[in-house]
Amino acid sequence: MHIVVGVKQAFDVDQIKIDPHTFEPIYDGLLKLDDLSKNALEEAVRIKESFGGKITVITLDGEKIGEAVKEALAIGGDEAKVVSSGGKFLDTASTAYVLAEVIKSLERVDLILFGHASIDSYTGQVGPRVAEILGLPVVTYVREIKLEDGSVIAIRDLEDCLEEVWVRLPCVLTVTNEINEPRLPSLSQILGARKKPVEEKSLSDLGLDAESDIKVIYNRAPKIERKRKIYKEDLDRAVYEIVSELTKEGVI
Amino acid sequence: MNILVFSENDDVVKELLSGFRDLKGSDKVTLFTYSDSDFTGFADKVVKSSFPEDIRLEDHAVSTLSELGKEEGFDLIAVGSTRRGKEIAPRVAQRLGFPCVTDVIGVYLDTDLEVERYSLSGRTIAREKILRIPAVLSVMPRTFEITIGNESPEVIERFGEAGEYVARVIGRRKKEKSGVELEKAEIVIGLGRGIGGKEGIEKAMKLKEVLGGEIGSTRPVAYDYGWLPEETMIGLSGKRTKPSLYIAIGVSGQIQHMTGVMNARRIVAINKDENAPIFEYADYGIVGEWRDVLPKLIEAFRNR
Repeated sequence: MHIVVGVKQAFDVDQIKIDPHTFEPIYDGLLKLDDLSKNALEEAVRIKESFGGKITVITLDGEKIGEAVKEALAIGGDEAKVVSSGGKFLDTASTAYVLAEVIKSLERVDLILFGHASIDSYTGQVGPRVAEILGLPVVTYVREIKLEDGSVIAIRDLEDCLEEVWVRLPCVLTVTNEINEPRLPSLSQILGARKKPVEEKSLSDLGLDAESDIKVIYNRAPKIERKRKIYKEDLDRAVYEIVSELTKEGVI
Repeated sequence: MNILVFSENDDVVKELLSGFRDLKGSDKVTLFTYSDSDFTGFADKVVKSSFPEDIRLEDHAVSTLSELGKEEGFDLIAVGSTRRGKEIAPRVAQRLGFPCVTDVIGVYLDTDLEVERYSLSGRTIAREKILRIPAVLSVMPRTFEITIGNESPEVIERFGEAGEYVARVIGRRKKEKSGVELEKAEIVIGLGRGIGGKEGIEKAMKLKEVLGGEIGSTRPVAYDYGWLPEETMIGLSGKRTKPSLYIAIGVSGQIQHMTGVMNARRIVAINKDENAPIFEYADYGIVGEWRDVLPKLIEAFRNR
């Protein structure tokens, strides 16, 4: 069983501060291995524990990619392939293209896992696009995976139903938060991760010049115009005033 | 501009058809649908289809939308950004070689096509220019209001294989429906981890009896503790609400939750931790235990 897990180093959205004047995010190197990438990795490790095999982690480079890759290998990846874009921004289409090229270069792949989206850009495009490029079936929003001989039963979590899908391998699955609780690697796993092979591939090797069709004009926090009237004592007065205000404002 | 619309959800279809009809520069709006509903007053043209029950809706829709995209030269393909839609949009874009933006919350068509979407889990809104059309968008539910126009659509049927399908649907289990309609509720009472369990939830139900509206929840309440059904979860990966009043009880105010209530007209927060981020988003806040605050609040609303 050869499982490929596409992971992302994402901005830590809870830690990022907003500039009070420009309303722009201050990224400040606040990066981490994406939450949903960890769910995908954890699921790969569980499958490997039951069926044996190998886990290859694939990702794009970035400011602190070494840390993210080490964490992914500590959780259970056996080796990693990192695409170096030479500092260029890759949009979802280009990201999917290079990841698909990396997958094509690997030995026989049985299963490809992604998070259903990343916590920072949350586009959810990469998994489905990679599947289309490779001509593989894809099932998104998977919250349970049952592996059978040469096929998978995936349970999808949709707004109004749980949908059970049978699909043959190889295929692409994108997973939700609910699929598992990612483990924290042990110290020996963290130390062991340093010895695992990491290979860098450059964009030119993969034949892409990374022009994007989408240009971000701005990215800033909405002005939250809230009254922020906070009562810390005298509950009776607080409740009375709030209910009166809401009534006066026609909210209730 | 010639626009093709799809969603498996009829409400979202009507929103999209209303929004794109009224968009400056829009010439003709065609709907692709599996629904038998009447779209008079919404679409200029309706293409109807159906697919066998054991085929994934996404697989059939991706094939058909891609074929229609090739045959009819649409400038824009807009899909409702439900979970199904979020799989369909990038796949169609990839097949046709079009750019794609998902989870769009605003569409602007002037000299260029520009869109807005949430970024950083909802902390920011990004405005993006799409440099090349045709393009594919997935548009969030409730982005547009439903308005009825004077279209009397030409309806055509389109059947057939539309591709090869590897995956098979072997079962669908409807999620338990308690009739909660958070998306449409005028008043939403949101319960977070701080509600503590059954006792707190019962008290919050009392508040709901007095005020009306619906009960929503945060991820820990719906998934980790299972105190409320999953369908009550509000936020980035749950329901998005737009109530007149949102009352947050024991909700810490993590961005992934707040994204789903950001459009509330007024937010009232009750939390015992005065440093909880929820107070940053609140119009009115009470620092205190729900045990002390809720009975008084229920009383006050009752006597209003």
